[in-house]
Amino acid sequence: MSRWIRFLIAILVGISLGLVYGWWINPTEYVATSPESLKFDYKTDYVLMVAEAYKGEGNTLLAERRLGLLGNTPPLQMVYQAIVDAQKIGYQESDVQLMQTLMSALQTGAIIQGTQPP
Amino acid sequence: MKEERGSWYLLTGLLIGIAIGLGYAWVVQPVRYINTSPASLRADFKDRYRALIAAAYASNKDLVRAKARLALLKDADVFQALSEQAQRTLAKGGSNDEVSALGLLALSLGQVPPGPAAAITNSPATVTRAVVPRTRAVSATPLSTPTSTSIPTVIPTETVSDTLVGLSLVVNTQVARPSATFTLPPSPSLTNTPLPRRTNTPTPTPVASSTPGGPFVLSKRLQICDQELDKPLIEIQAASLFGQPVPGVLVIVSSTGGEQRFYTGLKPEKGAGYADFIPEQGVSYTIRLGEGGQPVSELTALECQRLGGGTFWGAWLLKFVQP
Repeated sequence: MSRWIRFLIAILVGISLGLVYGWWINPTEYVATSPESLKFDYKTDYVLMVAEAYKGEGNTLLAERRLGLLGNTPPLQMVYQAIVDAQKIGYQESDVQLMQTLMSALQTGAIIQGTQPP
Repeated sequence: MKEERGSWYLLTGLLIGIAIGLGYAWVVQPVRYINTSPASLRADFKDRYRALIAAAYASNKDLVRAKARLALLKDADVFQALSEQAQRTLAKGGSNDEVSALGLLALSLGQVPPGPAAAITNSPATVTRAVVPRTRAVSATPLSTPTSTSIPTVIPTETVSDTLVGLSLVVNTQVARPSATFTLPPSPSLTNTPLPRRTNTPTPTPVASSTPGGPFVLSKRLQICDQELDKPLIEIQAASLFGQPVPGVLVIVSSTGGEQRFYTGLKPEKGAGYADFIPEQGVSYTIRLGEGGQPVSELTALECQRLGGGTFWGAWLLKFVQP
């Protein structure tokens, strides 16, 4: 076997070792993630929490600010997606209703601000 | 003539390969966490998450749900995390509602705080309550028998029998509203009982929260001479008409040097309605609970006389009640 082939094989072995180390043994750790990266069911629960808090506080702006933590998606769309996911997961009807109430409130706000609901 | 170069080229190739592999795995195509859990959130996001849990709890009062959500954050001590965040928020001048919600949730989780502090153990016959963190026994005798609702109505003639071990105590009781009627749980035999360490098990005992009502008025003003105190102290206890400690009550301390504001319940280990601060020597303070609360003035760092001569620091204990 020529030296170049053996050299190439050595490189490939090295790449394999590097990938194994980088992906499995010591992968990049995200210990300080943002809520945007949360799994969808956690996001759904997050939206439910916002809806629950909104029920007690009645503050649409605060609810929007809290939803803003989940990323750049418009709050209305977030709540809509959460309702869809909640129904898929099997949330209680009362919880879904809370989110619907929040969505209605946000829709009212959105209409006032001249934006369209999803 | 053939050149002898050994096998170093293989090692070189291996190292180049490893470098390429690591570069690809760490930089070009790193492992992406798109389905993370709340436990991996950055500290400030965790705080926001925790605050939202508390806000949701303040609204729905669903402790089981709040506990399940808090468990997702995987805090080493949930109770402490909530209390510390409440204090941090307060120190940063954050939202009062947020502080109250965090404090309320902390208290709801730690219904039986560690040490001899406001813990209530209900039993059909007796209520045992440790009121203050020192060896002090306060007893209240109901003047009427329990009603069918098992909540006896008593007139506020609390007998303060502050018999202290190693303490001398001057009792200066001021009943703000002599005609006020207090309702206490059955057989309110209040004793200073050592309690087991707090557990985070929800109990059926309701925790009073700072709710809109009448202004807090002073029900008792006690001087406590405790030789174990290394600095003077002013302690505040806020209670509802039913004798339950009330967390999240705004305490306004004013003096010539300015004004301090803090809340009851931020030291849950000392009681849900408890707050304290260290007065400066030679400064006279006025304290009131809430903006419209009854002001209690001329509070200074208390010095107690030792029997054999000399002085030591004492504490004021102010008990407020919301009629």
